Amino acid sequence: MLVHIHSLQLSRGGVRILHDVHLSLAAGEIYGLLGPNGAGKSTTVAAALGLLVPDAGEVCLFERMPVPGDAAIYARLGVLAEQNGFYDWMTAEGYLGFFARLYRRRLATVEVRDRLARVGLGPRPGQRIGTFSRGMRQRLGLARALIADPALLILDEPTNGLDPRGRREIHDVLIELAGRGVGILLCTHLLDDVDRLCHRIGVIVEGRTVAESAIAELVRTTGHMARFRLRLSGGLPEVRPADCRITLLACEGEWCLVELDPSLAPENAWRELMFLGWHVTEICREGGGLEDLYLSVTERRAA
Amino acid sequence: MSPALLIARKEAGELLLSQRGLAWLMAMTAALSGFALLLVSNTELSLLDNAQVVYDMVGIVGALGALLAIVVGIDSTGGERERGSLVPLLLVPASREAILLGKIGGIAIAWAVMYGSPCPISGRSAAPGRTWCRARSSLRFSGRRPC
Repeated sequence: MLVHIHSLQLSRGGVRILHDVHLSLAAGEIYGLLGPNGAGKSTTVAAALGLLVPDAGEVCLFERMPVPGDAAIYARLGVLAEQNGFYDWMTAEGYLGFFARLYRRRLATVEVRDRLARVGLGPRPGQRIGTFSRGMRQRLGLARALIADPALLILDEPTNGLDPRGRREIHDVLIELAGRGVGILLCTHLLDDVDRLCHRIGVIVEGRTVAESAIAELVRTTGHMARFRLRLSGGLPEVRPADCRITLLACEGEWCLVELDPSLAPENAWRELMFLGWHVTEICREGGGLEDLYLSVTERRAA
Repeated sequence: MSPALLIARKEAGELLLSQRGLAWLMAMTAALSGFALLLVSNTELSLLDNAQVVYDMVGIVGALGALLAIVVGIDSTGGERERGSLVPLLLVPASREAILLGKIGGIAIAWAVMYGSPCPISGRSAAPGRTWCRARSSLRFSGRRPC
């Protein structure tokens, strides 16, 4: 396991922030850490990084307890923290070169530019970071996190402030990294990001892990499967889908409501329906899935 | 290059290239100019001789420079923490001692810059040149207050 947190408890200023947090992340896995504001996600990350000392419980990074300044851990770790400050007087190249040298890497200017281009930052000779937009800073932060080719990436809201294309580019980078065996811990409020990227999720509410599992499994066990309203021209055909992962819930006029098992990609379901002669002319999402799961898990706890 | 040296270089760069650092230097220059003006006016009134002015000015430069270096040093840790740029630095594979040493090195460089930058002002405040040289010699070799 790259990250293993068990029964973590942590207090700050005499107030108990984390009561019982569990988390485990393996190589090649993208883990989404979800929870309402103030639930304790960033505190959990800080404890995992060795920046805060837990009161009780177990925190392991690369099978060992993180200690401040532990070069063996930090050399294999890339972090994009919640508070992501930069040296505004530096250029992007200078900033990345500075961190590369701190990681004892000698990168030529061309390599530094390649790293920046990889996260969508084109060459900007002489332009200081102080003039960068929020999205550009976010990309630069990600480039810094990737500078040491880490085995573990911990990213707090990595797509904040990015335009849709930028988000997609960052998604592609993260998927590629996970494919190469990098473990990624992703803290985010953007469920679209989680839906697209994460293999497993953990939900923290008021300092406790209230749910942790693979998304599909969690959605199935809690009964929050994705629902879609389909418009059919020519009414509902006689032939019903053979795949038990597609459930027909209701029909009303030319509209019908179907529920999909999370293990079935929607595009495959539509393909199957059309193959059966269903003339689908419009598809609308009707809630369900991860969003409903998140709302119900966090509401239940708050209640 | 060791992490401590890299961080010290970065700190010095921040002082000389960032707007904040330059603002501190400007403030220092303005304060020293004010002191120099006051001392020179005392010379004009024959209240102090030139050697005394140089001696006082060197003392002021040293004390004010050290004070400002401390302020810059506090800004380089507390300020960085506020701006969120300290966490990435704490997560590099360098010991906390090396980071601290780098910060202190940066402050030392800042102090050296503070001390060195007003030398022309000190020189100017002590005319003519022979008196300046004599005063410097007195300070360096006798360690006594020149009269």
